[in-house]
Amino acid sequence: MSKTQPYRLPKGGRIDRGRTISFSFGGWAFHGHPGDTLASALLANGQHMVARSFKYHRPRGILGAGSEDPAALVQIGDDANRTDPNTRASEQEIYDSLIARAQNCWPTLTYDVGAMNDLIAPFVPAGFYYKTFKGPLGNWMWFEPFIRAAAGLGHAPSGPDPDRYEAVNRHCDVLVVGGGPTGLMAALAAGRAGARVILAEETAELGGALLSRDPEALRLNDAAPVEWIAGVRAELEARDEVTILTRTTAFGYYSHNFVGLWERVTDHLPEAERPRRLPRQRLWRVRAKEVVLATGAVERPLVFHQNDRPGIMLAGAVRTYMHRYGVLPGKRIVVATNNDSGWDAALDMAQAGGEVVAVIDLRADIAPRHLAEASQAGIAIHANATIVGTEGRHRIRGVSVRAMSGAAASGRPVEIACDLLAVAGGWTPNAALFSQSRGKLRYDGAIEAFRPGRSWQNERSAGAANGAFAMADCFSEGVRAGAQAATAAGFDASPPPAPRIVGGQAGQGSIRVVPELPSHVAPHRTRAFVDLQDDVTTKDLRLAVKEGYSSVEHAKRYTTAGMGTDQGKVANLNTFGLLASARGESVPAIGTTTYRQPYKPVTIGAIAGQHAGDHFAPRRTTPMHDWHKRQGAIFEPVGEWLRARAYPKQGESFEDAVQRESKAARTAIGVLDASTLGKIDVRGPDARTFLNRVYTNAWMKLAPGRCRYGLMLGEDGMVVDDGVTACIADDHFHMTTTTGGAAGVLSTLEDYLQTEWPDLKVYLTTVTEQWAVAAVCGPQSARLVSELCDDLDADPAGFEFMTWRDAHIGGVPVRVFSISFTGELSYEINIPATYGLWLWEQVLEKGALHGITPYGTEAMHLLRAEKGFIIVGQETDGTVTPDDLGLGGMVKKSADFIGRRSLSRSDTARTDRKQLVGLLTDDPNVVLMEGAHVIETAAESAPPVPMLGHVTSSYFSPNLDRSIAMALVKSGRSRMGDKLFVSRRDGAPIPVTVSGTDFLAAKDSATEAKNG
Amino acid sequence: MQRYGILSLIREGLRGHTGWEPAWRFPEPKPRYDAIIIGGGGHGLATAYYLAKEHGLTDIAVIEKGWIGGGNAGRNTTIIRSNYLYDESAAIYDHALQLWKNLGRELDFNIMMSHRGVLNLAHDEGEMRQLKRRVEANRLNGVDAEWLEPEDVKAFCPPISIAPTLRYPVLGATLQRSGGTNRHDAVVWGYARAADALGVDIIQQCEVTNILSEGGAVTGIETTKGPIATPKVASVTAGHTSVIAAMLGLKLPIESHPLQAMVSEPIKPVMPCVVMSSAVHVYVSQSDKGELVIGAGIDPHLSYTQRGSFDIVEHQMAAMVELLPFTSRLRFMRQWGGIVDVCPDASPVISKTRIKGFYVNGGWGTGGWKATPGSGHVFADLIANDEPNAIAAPFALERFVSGALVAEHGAAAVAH
Amino acid sequence: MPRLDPGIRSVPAGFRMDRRIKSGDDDIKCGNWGRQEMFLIRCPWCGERDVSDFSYGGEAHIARPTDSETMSDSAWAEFVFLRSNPKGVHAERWNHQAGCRRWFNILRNTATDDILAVYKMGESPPEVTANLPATPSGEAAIGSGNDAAKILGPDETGGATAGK
Repeated sequence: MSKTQPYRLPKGGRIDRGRTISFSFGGWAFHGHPGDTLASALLANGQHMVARSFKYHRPRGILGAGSEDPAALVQIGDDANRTDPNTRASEQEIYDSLIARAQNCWPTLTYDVGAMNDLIAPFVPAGFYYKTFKGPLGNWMWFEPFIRAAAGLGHAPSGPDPDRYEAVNRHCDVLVVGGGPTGLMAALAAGRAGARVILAEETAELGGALLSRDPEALRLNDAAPVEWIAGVRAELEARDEVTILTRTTAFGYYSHNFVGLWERVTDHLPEAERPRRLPRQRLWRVRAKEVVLATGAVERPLVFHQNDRPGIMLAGAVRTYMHRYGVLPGKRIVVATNNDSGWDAALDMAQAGGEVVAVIDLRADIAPRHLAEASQAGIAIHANATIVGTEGRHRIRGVSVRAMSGAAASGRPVEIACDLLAVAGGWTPNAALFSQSRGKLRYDGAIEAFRPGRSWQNERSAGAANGAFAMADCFSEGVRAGAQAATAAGFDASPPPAPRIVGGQAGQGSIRVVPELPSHVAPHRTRAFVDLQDDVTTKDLRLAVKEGYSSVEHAKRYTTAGMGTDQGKVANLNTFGLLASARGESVPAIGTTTYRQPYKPVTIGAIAGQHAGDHFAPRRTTPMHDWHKRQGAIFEPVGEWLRARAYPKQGESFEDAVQRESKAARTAIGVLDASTLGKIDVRGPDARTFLNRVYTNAWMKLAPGRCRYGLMLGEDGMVVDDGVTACIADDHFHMTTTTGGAAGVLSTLEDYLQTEWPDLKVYLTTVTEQWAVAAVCGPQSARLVSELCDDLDADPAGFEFMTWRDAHIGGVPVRVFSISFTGELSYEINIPATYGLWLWEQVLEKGALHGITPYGTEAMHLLRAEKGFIIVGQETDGTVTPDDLGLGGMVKKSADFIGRRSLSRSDTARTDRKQLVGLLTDDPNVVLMEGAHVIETAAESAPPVPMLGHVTSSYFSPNLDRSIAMALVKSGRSRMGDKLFVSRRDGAPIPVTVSGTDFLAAKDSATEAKNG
Repeated sequence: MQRYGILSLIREGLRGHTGWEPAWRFPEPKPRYDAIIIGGGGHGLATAYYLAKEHGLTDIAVIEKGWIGGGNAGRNTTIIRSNYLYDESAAIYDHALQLWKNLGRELDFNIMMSHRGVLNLAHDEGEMRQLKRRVEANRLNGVDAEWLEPEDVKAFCPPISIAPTLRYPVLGATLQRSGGTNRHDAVVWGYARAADALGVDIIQQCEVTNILSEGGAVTGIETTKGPIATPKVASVTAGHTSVIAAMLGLKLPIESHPLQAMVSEPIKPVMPCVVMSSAVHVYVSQSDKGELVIGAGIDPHLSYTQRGSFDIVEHQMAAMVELLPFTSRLRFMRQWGGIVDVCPDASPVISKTRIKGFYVNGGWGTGGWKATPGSGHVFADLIANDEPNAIAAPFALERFVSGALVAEHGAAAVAH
Repeated sequence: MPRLDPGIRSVPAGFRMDRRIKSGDDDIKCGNWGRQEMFLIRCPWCGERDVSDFSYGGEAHIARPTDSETMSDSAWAEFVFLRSNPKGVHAERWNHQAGCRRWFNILRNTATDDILAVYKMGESPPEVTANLPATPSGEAAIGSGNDAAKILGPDETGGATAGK
């Protein structure tokens, strides 16, 4: 045996002794074998201490052998972007050049300054921070930085995650959670019945507790456990309908048998050997008809003075390290137990060559068989005994034992030297997933623990998870559960026979639960730990009860018991037992805290899956997008769309580009890609009636060929959308909505049609992406459109404003709408989307002669503001009525429409509401900030300053050669010509004059008056 | 009330902490009280505290069906801020923020009030416009709030990326420096301890099963511990507000939704402040224990189960990785849900009702925690005087009839 | 369309409240009664889909008034804003947004998320039995998994989970 692994057993374990793996922990080199976890390899090298506890920075060792371990957490990996804090040493499989470091200690694990906290422990009981740091001397803000720096365990990566994750959806008939004896039999029973089965096993191998037994002493159907397991695995793998997932944890049981599985695909491989095509981890979204929970049981530690030293391990875990990893973590071993399973462990360790010097049992009467075997192995027996203390700072050196009489320690303490103390405090059925499924637990006095009581979803627990700890019961319950699940899923199951067992163990037999082992040490000097990660002691729990925090949830939150990354897997039942004894009540009367998802911490990236980076949210682009990109357009997200905001030329600023584009639209020709506008095809004999009920204005008489602008309200009377709708025929309309509102409007219209007015025959189809739209505007636009179209003279004399025509461009059918959002002569050419880019290039090619300029959304915002046109979402925010916008004229009196009744409510009908007006700054070059607030006084009074309203839109208009703005102002329309002020952060309020909103018209009439 | 402090800790440390008194009594209900508050959460206990302290109403009781702080008070993400848009909202939320500042000292209970700053990110022109309007309204209302350009956002909170190529680029943010977080349990326990010391009976494990009235006026309640007479009943029951009001045949503009939240494993400090993003749809802060506390939106459907759907969790995690890519490798440790009572205008109901002596304080939706002391203070005033003060008046039920809503929809874009 | 007021106290027409706590012994599915559906919604046209396929439309059977001009402001406010929001059986509207985009109704027990019935627009709610909280703001005997429904009381019989 290489001298570097002094605790490696000569033979045995599911490891490859032919190959050696070298890894580092805390900067020191160690060796292990493939199949080792970090914990087993460190134990093989005699390294028990791996961490420091959260609060007192006491040395922490390896207690468990799997996901139940509370405190052996390490940082894996030194790469800044690929490092994983708080990783359980007992779950991290080792690989070549694995780098692991201790956490939450400085400068080193062995010499940690933080250990100073342990010295002041008497002055910092549970909840001490509630009683101080309140000032006035030092208040919380002064202390917080120090507390935060000390808090937290590992450190986060600094950069984005280089690894990839994915999610997979699966339906199955039977999901079996847990690949131990129970799970294997359940999967076999269901599989043979023909059901589609998924078997999820948390560790790298099937077998569960079978791998923790001495292979020489256990025979299944006359075969060694490993052969029997291999046989079952082979049969399951041969069945097409069975999927076996190892390294996969069922972390969340949600509604309706939806179970989340978390598969760690490549975390066990060295980075170089991780296939690029595979994700690092995978989320399985499983919807199962039936579920079998074969999640086993978790062993509880015993609670006694100084029970937290490295080298104190769960007895079951020691057996796992012995038989699964070929490691006996101690030379001189003491076993302390309150049930029979501790004796099985002790004799197993002796059998493996360990020097078991003593077994301490809280119980007075011990099975004769155990007594005989122990004495035969030369093991000292301490019955009806209690542990009163331990020795050893970074690793246990000894334990002192006294007799127990009633609830007190008595007689002389016996000091026993040892380097391993294996504790067996009884087994807790792992009912976390059962509780997540909203089933009700039952307290079972025979095992002094909660186990599944009444199911609510279609699941059943079996084996140790159901409180049946004897191996024979695990096998038989697995068969029954698998058969039952298959039957419930609609298959006729022929349950396979359970294997013949030779050497299988009985359960834990009688158990004597003592919430805290009695000792002579004064209570306030006793350090008996219930939660090893968060350093919660029995004193803390008693203090909580004394101070009134006696309910199980209050005690948990006051002491933080069970609030660590292990969520109290080994600690919770001991906590409830302690609380019950402190309150003088029974454990079921105390109740439990709530089992929440996840069963154990799951990588956030694995849940995010593929929805990261570009795939986080869909991006929609118009058919002309590539052209905009080639032009070097600046883009703006509008809802899920990406729209060109401006087309700056080489060296041109964004602002200059917007001014140029806006000027060109009014002096020559501008063209806007308006494809993102929402478009809904409305058909049916009742289409007119429907539009009449949906819009505020009248639609019964709009003739085919004509268009009309419409306002849509919510039932609360507030504007929610607007747009132009064209009458194609009496039973056919083409409705447009705002870009952002399209989906919402469609849903609302479908809602009303199906649930309020099912009698109306109207059919809606979204055609937003079926049409590409080039909006051409400007004095030359009519000539360009005429030149473009094969068969249309766009001269406004013949082609009236607010009408539309069918036409063709190069043989391609188009609809040309004479509607304007800029106040200019304007034509919106709608063409089937596949021709969008072709149309755009035609328009620009033919428009070049007339000085055509593409303009973006910023120029569009500016141009429509020059005319005082509103943009829903900018001029409105869900609190604005048609009358507020000065569009009261669009509210028909003749018939009901959505939201009409709300308009006459007392507050909605007020005349002094905020109304849309124009604001002209005295200094024409000052551009007001959008969102700035309008006030009545030249200077701001002391807060709260009364506000009259706010600026909704504000630009510098190249066409008016001055700044313009629109604002919602209290009683705005009755303040025309008044002087008001617009406040700003660091400067005097800006003087403005209230004006109308059609700035362009105002300018034209002014020039007429001048020239007139 | 026993004095807490460093000296008492040292004194008790020397004698094994045997001298600490219970923080509250466990009284049996008396046959009659001057007023009864239903709901032992933050708002309910604050109401009782201010009734006793400022209005001298000490013969009152708080009736809690479970254990105090077990409802939303124990399930929120503890974010404190007052940068709301409308004057009415700014008034009540800032009133709360001012009370938060010294509450630890007033209650002699450290509530870990951390004024670490709250950032609301803007990712497009529309959001920038809305947030600038809000910051300016805050300034004029005397609420501390400032606008930050991207570089300043990066300086204040280094983990945030301001790369212009992001799917949701950061175009700027509002910052409220006096906003931040605190310890929710400590607030509940601090108020309970102080109220109990003033004589208020806090009765846990006692569920109200009916409210009795005669001639349109409240006369008492029925509970699982027997009937209690009282002329004044105040409901501060958050998600169960409709259930309590239905006992008097009242219907409210409230719907109860699951709101989920979660924490990561504890790590060394990495998030200096609270960061909220509407477009990416997530908000995050780091607790003093080191966990990232992550929240997002409500489940759309009505439910009292305090549990939500998994697809909401998936979106929340994807949004978290989008906002802060380094969180991808961290593990989420625990996920839970509460029941939030949402009003159509995302503003609370603090109101008398047509039944004399029955008052409602609810509808806080996703934003109730930050208002706790302000809500309790003004509600105590309303109960004592049977008339709302200036801060509470705009939140009366009548607003749904007149249409004078306090429409903070924008504020509720992301639940906080 | 009957206006439903499924308040806790008054049982609306068409519902049969079964407050007895059903013992589950006789049910092979270990204690629950019949096929429980929670958040796998059965669209009347497309069949079972996950809840994320659907959008929620709020309380059902609140017909839009046809004579709103004659209504008082408060009567109109009741239609627009007031909701029963019961902890118990709730008639609600759902839309299969990512599927057939059809609206339909569901009866759901909001105390446990049990979906009790799915029925089409225009139909009146069917009679259902639901395991409701024994007290207005209490927990149903089983189904929420919350404080009062985590552990079987000494008197409660649990279903036979496999093996016992």
